[in-house]
Amino acid sequence: MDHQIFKIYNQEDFNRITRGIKVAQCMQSRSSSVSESERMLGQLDDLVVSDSLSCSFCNTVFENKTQQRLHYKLDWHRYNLKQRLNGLKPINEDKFSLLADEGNVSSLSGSDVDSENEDETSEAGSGHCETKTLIKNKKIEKKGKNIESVSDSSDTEYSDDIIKEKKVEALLVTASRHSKVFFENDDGNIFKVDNDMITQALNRGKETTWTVIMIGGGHFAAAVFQNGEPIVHKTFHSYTVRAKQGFAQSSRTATNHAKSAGASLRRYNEASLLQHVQDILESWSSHINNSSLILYRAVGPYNRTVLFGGKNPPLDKNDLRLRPLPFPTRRATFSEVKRVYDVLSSMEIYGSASDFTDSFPISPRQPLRKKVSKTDGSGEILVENVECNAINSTCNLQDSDKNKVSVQPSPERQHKNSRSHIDRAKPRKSPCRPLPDIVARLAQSSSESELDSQISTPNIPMDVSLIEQELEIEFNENLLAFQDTVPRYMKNKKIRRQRKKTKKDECVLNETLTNAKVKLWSACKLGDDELLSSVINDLLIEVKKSVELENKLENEEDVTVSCNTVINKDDVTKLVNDPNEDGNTMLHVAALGGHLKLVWQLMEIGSDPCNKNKKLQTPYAAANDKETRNIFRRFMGANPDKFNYNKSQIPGPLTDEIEQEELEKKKQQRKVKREKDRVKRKEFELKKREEDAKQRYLNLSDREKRALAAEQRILEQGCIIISRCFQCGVDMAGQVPFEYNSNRFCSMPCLKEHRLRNKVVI
Amino acid sequence: MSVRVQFENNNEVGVFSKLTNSYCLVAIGGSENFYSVFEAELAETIPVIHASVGGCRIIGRLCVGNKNGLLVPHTTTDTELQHIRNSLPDKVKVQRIEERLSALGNVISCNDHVALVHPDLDRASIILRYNETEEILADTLNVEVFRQTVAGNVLVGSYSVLSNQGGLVHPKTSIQDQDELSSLLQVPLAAGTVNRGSEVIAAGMVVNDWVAFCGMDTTSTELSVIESVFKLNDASPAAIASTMLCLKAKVSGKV
Repeated sequence: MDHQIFKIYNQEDFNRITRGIKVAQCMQSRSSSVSESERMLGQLDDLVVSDSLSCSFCNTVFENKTQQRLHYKLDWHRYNLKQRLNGLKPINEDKFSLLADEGNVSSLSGSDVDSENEDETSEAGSGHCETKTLIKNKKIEKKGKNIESVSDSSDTEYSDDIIKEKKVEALLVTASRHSKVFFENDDGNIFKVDNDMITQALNRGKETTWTVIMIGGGHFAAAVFQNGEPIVHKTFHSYTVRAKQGFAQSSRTATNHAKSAGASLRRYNEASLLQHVQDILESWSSHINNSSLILYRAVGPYNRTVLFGGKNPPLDKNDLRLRPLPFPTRRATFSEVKRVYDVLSSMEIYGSASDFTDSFPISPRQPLRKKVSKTDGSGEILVENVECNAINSTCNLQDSDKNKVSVQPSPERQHKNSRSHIDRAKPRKSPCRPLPDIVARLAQSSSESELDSQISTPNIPMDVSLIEQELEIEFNENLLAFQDTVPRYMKNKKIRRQRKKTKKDECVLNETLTNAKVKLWSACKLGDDELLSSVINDLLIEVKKSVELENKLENEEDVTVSCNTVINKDDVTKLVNDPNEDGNTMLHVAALGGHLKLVWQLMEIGSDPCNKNKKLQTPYAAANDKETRNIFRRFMGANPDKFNYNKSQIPGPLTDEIEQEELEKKKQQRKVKREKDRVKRKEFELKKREEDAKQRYLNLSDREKRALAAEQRILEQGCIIISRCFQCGVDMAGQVPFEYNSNRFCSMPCLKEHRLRNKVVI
Repeated sequence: MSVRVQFENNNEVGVFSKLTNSYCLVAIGGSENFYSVFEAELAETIPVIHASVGGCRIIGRLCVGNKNGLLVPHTTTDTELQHIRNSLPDKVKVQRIEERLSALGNVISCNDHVALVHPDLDRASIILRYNETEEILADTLNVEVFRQTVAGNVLVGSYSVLSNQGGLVHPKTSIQDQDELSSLLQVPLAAGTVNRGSEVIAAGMVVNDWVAFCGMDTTSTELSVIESVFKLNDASPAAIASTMLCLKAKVSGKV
């Protein structure tokens, strides 16, 4: 029998269905199922410290507490713990002591043990595990078959107790979760209906009149239904609740009396809503009095006061017919009121008890598993699998027709299982995904071109031939700038080597050279340029001679002549560059002495201006006066390529032109300076004069100062109005002159006199 | 007394706090809500301290302690250690230990008298000095140390919570194991969950002898299990003290 819905107000159906009504089996044991958590808590109340004296890991029993506590610190126990974690069998104490004596237990932790013995046991263990799993699989298959066979026949007899028990429990849980009650009637059909409704319906008279009132959030909807038809209904809305904020205005006003326009509006509307509702309910009073049930929804104190508050409330709080709506509803509208009525007045029929148990969907929820695991702790996995099967099969049953044999669920099941057991920590093959269009095209084209090239290469030999080139690159020039950066110790080594060499050379040097050297040194010290030039000339002559001699020897090919007598130019330069005990070369000495000619000559021979003495001074830096230094610069100007001047600290070449220019520059500077001086002197004189004047003034006594001031004033005034009488020539300063013909007079008599004299003019 | 609390919308409060009978460590979080919940409950009786360990906020999993002492891993910096030493009461010993398994909270579970430890604890330092960590543990925390697993897990610190009144263990611990553990530890044990079925109990809650803090997701059933196992229903520091006095009187009377 399929799911059917009937209405309570339909008298015939109702009578038919409720014949021989009794509460369904699934509801009767409900009370026991509900108290699951309570029972658990009950167990918790008498929790005690257990006094079991055993260790399940080592399969031992202890005589007393101390022995037990000592045991848990033993390495044996620890080893067995490890064994258990690795899925191996525990070993007894004797075996362990043997192992320990053999030294097999290397780290005393059990995990690092890898002896042959161990391997064997582990293999045995794994083999055991395999057989176990095999057995499990068989069992599962068997159960699956059972379920299928059961689904064929209508009677519900499961060979497996576990499944049945589990299913019943699941049903109980599901049934207990519903707000409605399940009843069974004479025909054995189970139907679902709200408890209150059915009692009302059973006790009713001829007609069923229900009133539904919903109020909330400023919305009001109410209707009186008779036999499924609304007799009267009313819906309205007033603005009482702050938009998107919630709460009735009155509840907010209780704390702070808001004065905004909105607040007052809402307050007014609340009052009007209350009035309106009460008016409506009063006008419906006859209907309401007739109705057998009054269903209402009014959440919150404000909404309840609308229905039950005030001096003469529209509804009586203690009315036995009053029922709050037993499920959540939407906004109070007429359609919602109708829906509520529809839901409450319907009876759902599930058919016979067996159908009911089959058709009820059981969601695989956690609590079910828990219960099962409690009943059978050891075979947990097994039971869970079975449970999955059961659920799958029940789902299938629900979906498929009863007559149809459910399609073999095993592949699906396997699929599900495999899916649930994906280990996300493990690396997997990345799936092959098609490339996006453009990328695919590009890849194709590129691969094609590659292919083309690959195809073409074997047929046509390559034209391009490799060219080998050898390039020698000299870095020395570039590196010259970094000569100084060579570390000190390396430099020292070099110097030492050089010294050694020179020492050796000295041994070899012939007498002429030593003589020349002594003379040269003395010349440098004394500043005797004549001696020096003579010595040098001698040396040069010697060199020439030796060169000629060498040439001769070469021509004659006579090797027997000793090389000692031969002097070449290198020897001379070496001689000249030899330092004394202070590290000074001859050039240093000459420069210190300020012997200009000597310096020039020495450098001409080849004395290097870059040599440094022990104070790390070059000859240029060692020179005392400017003239000597200029000699160096001049030499640099004359022979820019003779030495590498980079390290000689000589600032730059000096020629006559440059000197001239510098002189010019200096003249100019001197001129400018003179100008500046003159201006300065003038300013100074001015200042001094001013200062003098000030001083003189300050030296005056006060009377003199006043006189001076007066004098000055008079002087000033005289400058402005130089007015004297035209007639008598008296100073008229400070007087108002008498005027006529732009002539000014000191007094009337003077004017008169003047007039009398020059009558003609007028 | 048990309280639901959240650390920055995270229910694993046991990760971010460490509660004992003589002090409470709380992770330094973005907001002070978490801290103030603890402070409101505990400030009258024990110090509530902001702390970090090795720059991490997961102090609950990194350190282990009871009323006698506190062990911190070698990742703890000197300043952190100094801060903790300064803030804790003087009688609490603080010790930094060189242990390869540095998440001490996960490998050790203890009350004021006994401790369960990971079977491998201090395996690395065996070559140097045998059982070094275990000795430090026994000395600093004044506990008896047992190596054991909880429901086949070596991380005993994660899957069990102990107080002097009781203990909660991994929900899949067998009855036999529970019995053995209970007789070993001399406290009543129960299997249970926190945070709506989380089996990582120690991460979901912290407890001492009179108060428990659980994650916000903890259901009322779980909470009632916790309250009854840890005997928190009528527990307060004062009540515990009075019961202790009674016990003492009884014992002395007998003698």
